[in-house]
Parts: sequence; structure tokens; C-alpha cells
Amino acid sequence: MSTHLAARRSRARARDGWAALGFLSPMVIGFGLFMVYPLIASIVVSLYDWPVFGERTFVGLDNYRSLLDASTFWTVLRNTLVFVLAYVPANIAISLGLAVWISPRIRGRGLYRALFFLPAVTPLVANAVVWQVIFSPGGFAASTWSSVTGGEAPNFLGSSTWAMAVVVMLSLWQGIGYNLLIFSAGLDALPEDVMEAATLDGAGTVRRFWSIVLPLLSPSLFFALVMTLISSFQVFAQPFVLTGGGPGDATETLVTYLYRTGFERFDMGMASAVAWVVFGLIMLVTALQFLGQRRWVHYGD
Amino acid sequence: MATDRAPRPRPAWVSQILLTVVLLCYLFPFVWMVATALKPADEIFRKPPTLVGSRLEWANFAGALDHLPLWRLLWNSVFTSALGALLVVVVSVPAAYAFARLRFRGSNALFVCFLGTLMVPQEVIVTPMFLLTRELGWDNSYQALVLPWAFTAFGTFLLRQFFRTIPVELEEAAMLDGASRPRVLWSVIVPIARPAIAVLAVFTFLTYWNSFLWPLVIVSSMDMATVPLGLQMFLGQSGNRWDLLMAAATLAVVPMVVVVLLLQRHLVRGIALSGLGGR
Amino acid sequence: MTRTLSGGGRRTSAVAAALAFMSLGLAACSSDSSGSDSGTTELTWYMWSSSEAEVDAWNQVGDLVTERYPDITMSFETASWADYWTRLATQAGSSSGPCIVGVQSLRVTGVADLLQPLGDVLPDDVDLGDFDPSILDAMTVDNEQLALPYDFGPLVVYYNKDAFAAAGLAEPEPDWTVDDFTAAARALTSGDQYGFAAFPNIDYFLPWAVNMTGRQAVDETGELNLTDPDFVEAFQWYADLVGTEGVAAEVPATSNSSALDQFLAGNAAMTVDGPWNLINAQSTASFDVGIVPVPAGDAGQTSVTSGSGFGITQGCSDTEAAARALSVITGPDAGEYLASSGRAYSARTAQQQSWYDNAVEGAQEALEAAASSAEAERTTADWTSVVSAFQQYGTQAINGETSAEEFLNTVQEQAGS
Repeated sequence: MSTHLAARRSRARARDGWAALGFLSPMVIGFGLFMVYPLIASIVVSLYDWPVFGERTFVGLDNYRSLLDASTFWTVLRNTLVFVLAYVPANIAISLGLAVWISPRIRGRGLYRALFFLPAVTPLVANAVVWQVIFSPGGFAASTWSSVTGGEAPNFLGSSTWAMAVVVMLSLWQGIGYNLLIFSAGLDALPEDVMEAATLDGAGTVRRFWSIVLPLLSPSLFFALVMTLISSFQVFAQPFVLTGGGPGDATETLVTYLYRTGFERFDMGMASAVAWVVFGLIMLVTALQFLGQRRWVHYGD
Repeated sequence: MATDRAPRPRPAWVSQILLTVVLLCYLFPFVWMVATALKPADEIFRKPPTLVGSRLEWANFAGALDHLPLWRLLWNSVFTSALGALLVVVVSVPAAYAFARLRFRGSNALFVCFLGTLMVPQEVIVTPMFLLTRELGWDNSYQALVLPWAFTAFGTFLLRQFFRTIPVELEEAAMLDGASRPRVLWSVIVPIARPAIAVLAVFTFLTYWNSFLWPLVIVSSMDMATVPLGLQMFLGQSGNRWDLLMAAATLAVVPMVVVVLLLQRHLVRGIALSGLGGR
Repeated sequence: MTRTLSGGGRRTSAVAAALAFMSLGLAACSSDSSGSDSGTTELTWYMWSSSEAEVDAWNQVGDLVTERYPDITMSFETASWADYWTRLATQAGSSSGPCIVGVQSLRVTGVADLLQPLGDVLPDDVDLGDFDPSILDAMTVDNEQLALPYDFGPLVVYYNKDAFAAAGLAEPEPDWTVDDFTAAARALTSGDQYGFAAFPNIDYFLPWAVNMTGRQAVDETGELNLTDPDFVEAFQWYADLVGTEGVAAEVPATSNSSALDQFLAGNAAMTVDGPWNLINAQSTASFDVGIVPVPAGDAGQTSVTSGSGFGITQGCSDTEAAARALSVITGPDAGEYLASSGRAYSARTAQQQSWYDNAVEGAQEALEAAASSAEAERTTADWTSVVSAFQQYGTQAINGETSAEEFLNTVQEQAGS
């Protein structure tokens, strides 16, 4: 380590610094204005009794305290966890299964992948309203149920047990497309002989899939898992449009509860507190995943 | 490729047919959407439900276009989505390059700060964001629809990951030739990163296209509304117009079908090349 | 759709604080805009709407203002019904909101803080005696007139004339009773066809409760009182139409009422709705639609009315001009225009005939009978959350998953505090 070299390095560093300033400033300015500022503002709001009309008063942590005291909060928290636990594994399993199924032996793979991806890009509101029609009492789902089982169909969107199931199904329909593409990309990148081994039928295929393909695919799997988990904690539009959170509070999730608190009851302070609870939960879960990733994610290099 | 080595117990065509059946079931809601769009209004909830109504009611499409200025809404959606995609690319490329290649004080801290915000649900900042855009005098405008969500960390993160896979040697060669950093970025990095940039543009476009909560809050006139908002307008206080709603939904879905079919070859390759798949 | 991946760390906060400081500075730089001084006043008015045709109609009404007062031009802003109240809430947080806003009588208590009392500001040519008194009363909070109505309506029973004829039933008369209703509903129910379409919308359930018990959901002192035993019993009766009686179908959980859809599809022969949907309903249905007042119960026959109108916001910078504009928007010419085009059953009694001319046969008789015993529906300040809780939890009660008592206790607890 000569001083000469160090000096050169620091000159290079200084030059880099100026370039970085230029490259980063548009992003940093916009980011500060449109992300950090509203974020900080929402912390401030969460410490106030902040009705939309009328006086706002500083209440410290009272919003958080009364949130934890409200039984509804625990119900929506449980609903959200139920949703996450039903949706995330099913999503990963189905999209991974489909990605493997659409193997090189299938003709027109690109077309199949694209069509399975389709519901992910059509407007969610459009998707949800069709599901509403299909699952309405006496609608297509109910009449199919009756003709298959011979019995009377459940009231899919009106029964507390079924409503959440339909919300999960809609979310899966809408959501597996992204992960399908991610897994497809991952599989395509695997060495051909590995795929050959995995797609061959006969004894040991399943074992080979578990012991060879899956570890090689683990970075994709990790990425998809993190993304899917985070988005599932934020689930909003599906229950909001499909069931309006009902029946009762059977499909009320953290974010629909947040929306209701802030924009129906106009309690911005409390809504911001809910928002920060959601944020905290997501941070926690994501941190856990990153801690756990060393155990099972194998990066190639 | 002509030599098939191993005999296959289950012929490929069985698998193909099964997959096709699954796909058709999967796409069934779209079929129902179009079929419903062609039914007379009073037959949509008639029992038992039938796929085709007593007559094909093409007038529903004209009715939907008449009920709302749908073309205008489609244009608003396309325009804001495209502008958003462009802006995100323009802002993210240099920022991602700075994080990927340049060494500067606070680089790591700033990047971690960026990444942290990836987890912020949009709902957390909608209210202050509304007050802010209002303060700027932007409410009910294109810039209000586009700008607030153009500075997310997603694009920066995605491109940074990709840029780091590009061999440094390419840049060093250009730098030795006297090229400046912006020049290197523009003529060396950007051409190589085209697939990743395309993926970012497409995904951003789709995010804007589907966004619901923000337009709901910021748009206050019909001529600035986007498609998802328009769809909401068919249901409400003065009766639900399911016939027109389904026609409008069909019109909103068709452009996406076209886009996806056109891009089908590039979807997976783009993701593979962009590193979005986690490698 | 989603963006993601993460890190999160302790160093974040310092950087974030610096950025925030910077951006606060930026925000402070943007200056306030000032109004124009060119002799004409542009007033922004904000109203819900659900179609381009409605927007056009309101713009026509806006033109009437400029015609009468050339110094005022009107700029119309809109949102769908569901989004309207969200937007109104968020806009109220800022000072540059609209001057004139649409208000529904059921929500007027909720937005009272946002509105100016009209008592002293209205121009002299406005005579409150021209309006239906019950709807005028419904737009009064703490003895202050906060809005002027343009339309109103008692909720009535819609019935399928063809289904009544097919079942060999005589069409209901304005003085029919709840027992007549139940008997008709039974006779009209067979297989997939139901006599009635229920839905847990508190406003649409209320007429039944009022006629059976004489009680509204909100008592005379303005307190929400859902747990009153009579009220509970009335709701249990309503839920039993689905359960023990089986004359109405179970309901789905949706954010938009399915009752009228089921009625129009011919799956249910009767439902409750307001006159504002009547002309649309007749044009959609493939059968003849009739209307009749909600049947009389043990407490007689009272029609609960609600309606919509316009008020002036507290933040409005030119109250005088806004009041003049308001007098035209809710004036006789606008009323005549909206009534004759079938858009609104006018709150001005003199203009109602133009609406009848377009409406289904028998509408005049039914609505006049209903109006003769009208009473304004009372609401609380957070009526939105009462409506929404009632609908969410009511789905379970109607479908028999919970009892009326449990359900009403829950709503009272959630929304009444």
C-alpha cells in the first residue's frame, strides 16, 4: 500500500463522487419529495388525533394503544395472516408446478406462459367484477356446483367460510402469472441436462426435482417468495372490490381496515397507525427471510 | 436436436392436451366476461345462468362508450402509463449505475434507505401524498397521476442488479479511450442493458395501468379519469349497470391481451436477462 | 404490480431525516396561487355522477347559472358515488377545495363541519316554502339549513306486475299491510323465484322498522339506537324472510346492493328502492314495474325520505356568488329541466308533475300517498361507517349465521361510539 496509490484512489473516489451526485440527484430529489417526505409526514399524522374536518390534537402513542385494544384489529390481523398462509404457499406451488409443466416438450411454450400471465396484467377491477358475477348467488359457480354435486351450492360470497376462499382464489388467479414467469426464466437458465433429468418420467423424478432442480432454482424461489409475501400482506383491491370486506369482517384485511379507518371514518391518525403496523409486520417478515436465506438459498457463485 | 435419446413413457401430446384444458379453464373468467358483455341487462343474473343470452346484445359496447367517455379514459391510462414507464427508466438508469459502479461516501447507507422503502405499502403515504400534490397545485392533472410514483426504488434496484453482471473491463476500455462516465453509461452500459430496461418499462407500465387507489384519490373530473376508475362508475347509487360494465371491462382487457401476445417471446427472456428472477 | 425486496437498517434514519429536511424546503418554496380579478368569478362545484349523460346534465344546469348571473362561470368536478365521499374527505383537508358541493341528506350530518349555514346568505328570491318540507328538514343540522335539495324521494316497494298477474294476485294498494306483503311474497315464491329481494342496507331496511315499530335507527336526540328490542325484533322479521319464511334469497357480501339486480333479472318479484332509479329500472326490465308505498305495520304507515342537494363549503372564498349560483342550481328552472328529462324527482313540489309525465303508470298515486306521511330519515355524523358496518355484518344476519341481536350489538358497538 503506497501512499501514491492511496492518493490516486482517493482522487478517483472524488471524481466518482461528483459523477454520482449528477447521476443520483434526479432520483434522490424525487425520492425525497415523493417518498421520504410523505413517509415522515405519515408518522407525524399517526401521533395525532387527526380528523379530516376540525381540530387536530397531539395524542402521542394513543392511536397505537387503542388500535391494539380494538378487537377488530386482531380479527383483521388474523384474516390477513390466514390470507397470507393460504395464498403464498399455493401461489408458489402452482406457479412452480406450471413452470415445470410448460417444459421444452410443450409446443408453443411462449404462448402458454403468456396466456397464464394474462390475468396479472388486466385491470384488477375488471377481474374482480367478473368474479363477482360468476360467484353471485345462482350464478355460474353455484349452478356448476349444484350440477356436479347434486346438492345445494354454498352462498360463495355470502358465507363467512367461503368468502375468504374466493378472495384467495381470485388473488391466485391474478397473482401466479408473475411468479410463473420468474420460475420459467429460472428454469430456462438451468443447464439443459439437468432439465432433461428432471422432466424424465419414472422412478426418482420427484427426488431428482427436489435434490437437483430445486436447489439450483433457489435464488428465483427466494426472490419470488419475498415479493409474494410482501404483496400478500398488502392485499387490498381483491377483497375491497369482491366482498367489501364482508360478510361481517370475514374478509377484512389490514389494508382494507386501514382504508375504512382513514377514508370512511375519516380518522387519519388511526389509519396512519395501522399503516405503520402493516409496515412493521412486513419489515419483520422480510428480515426473517433474509436471515433464513443462508440455510437454503444457493447462489451459483 | 433430431436424436431423441430416451424413450418417453408418457407421450408429449397427452401432457400438451391436459395443459391446454387447464389453460382453458384458467381463462374461463375472460370468456364469461365477454359472454356477459353480450347479454341483455336483465339476463345477467337470470337463473339458471347460460353462457349466451337470448340474443347477442352488441349495443352494450356502444352503450358503454356512450355512458362514459371510454376512449378518453383509455387514452389517459395509456398516456400516463407510458409516461410513467419512460420517466422511471430515465431516472433509474443513472441512479442504478451510480449504485452499481461508483464509489462515493454514503453509498451503502443511501442504498439501504432506498431498499427499505420497497416495503412501504402505497396506502401508508397516500394521504400525505395527496396533501403534497395539492400544495404543488397539481391535483387532477397528468403530472399528479405520474410523478409521485416515478421515484420508487424498484427500478433502481432491478437495474443495479443487472449492471453489476456487466464486466467492468468493457467500461475500463472505454474510459481509457477518454470517455466520460455519462458517455460510458450511454454508449456501453445502456445498449447491453436493453432487455433489463425493457422489462422495467413493461412492468412499470403495468403498475400504472392497474393502479387504483391513487387515481381514486387524486382524479376529480371525468376527463382525467383512468380505466379502473371508469369501471367503478358503472356500479353505484343509480343502479348497477352490469351489462355496460362487462362491455367496458372487455374493452379494457383487450389491449392487454394484444400486448401480452405480441410480447410473448420476450416476456420470459426479458426476465431472465434482467436478473429479476433473483440470479 | 408489486415492487420489492429489502434490507432495512439503522443507518436509514439519518439519511431519511436529511432527505426529508431537503424536501420540506422544496415544499415550502411552492407559493400559494391567488384568485383572478377579471370581473367574472369561476366557481368550482363538485358532485357525484355515474355517466357522461349525467355530467352533461349538470353542465347544462351550470350554464343556467351563467345565464342568470353572467358574472359567474361554473366549473364542474365529479367522481362516482362510492369515491365521492372519499374525495370530499381528502379535499376537506386542504383549503383549495370546491365552493359548492353535492350533499345527500343522509350524509349531511357527517359533513356538517364542512358546510356554511345558508340562513343569512341566500338571495331574496329563494322561498323555502316551495320545497317539500320533509327533505328540507333532512338537510338541517342543529337548526341550521346547510343545503338546498334538488331531488328527494320516499323509499317505495318496486313490484313485478307480470309476476303478480302470473300468480293470480291483485296488485298491492297504497294502504296495504305487512301481512298483505308477506302473503304476496309467499305466493310469489316458487323454486328459483323469490317473492322479495332483501339486502342489508340500513337505509332500505329502515322503512320496515319505522312502519312496524315507529322507531328510526337514530332517536330524536340524535343517538344511534340499534339495540332497542323493538328494532331488533323488526330486523329479525326481515332476516326471517330469508330464513324461516324462505321468501327471499340469501345475499352475497358485496359493496354494491344486489337487490335491484335480482329484481330486474326477474329472480325476485319485489324489492325496496327509491324513485330515482325508477325510470332506469323500467327501461332495463323485460316486465312491467309498479311501485307502491312500503306496507303499513303495527305503527302505521310512514314514509322515510332522503334526497340530495347542494351546500356551500366553509372554505369558499366568495360566499355571495356561491349563494347566488346555489339558488339557480336548486331553482325552478333547473328543477324543471331535471324533472322533465327524468333525472330527478324534484324537491320543489311545483316541478314534480314533469317527472310523473315520464314515470311508470301509478307512480304519481304511490308517491303522493307516500309523501303524505313523509318523515325525514335521521342520521349520525359518521353515517358512512354505520351504513358500511350494517351492510358487512348484516350479510351474516340475513344469511342466518348470526342473530339479529348479535348483529345489531356489533354495529352499535363499532359505529355508535
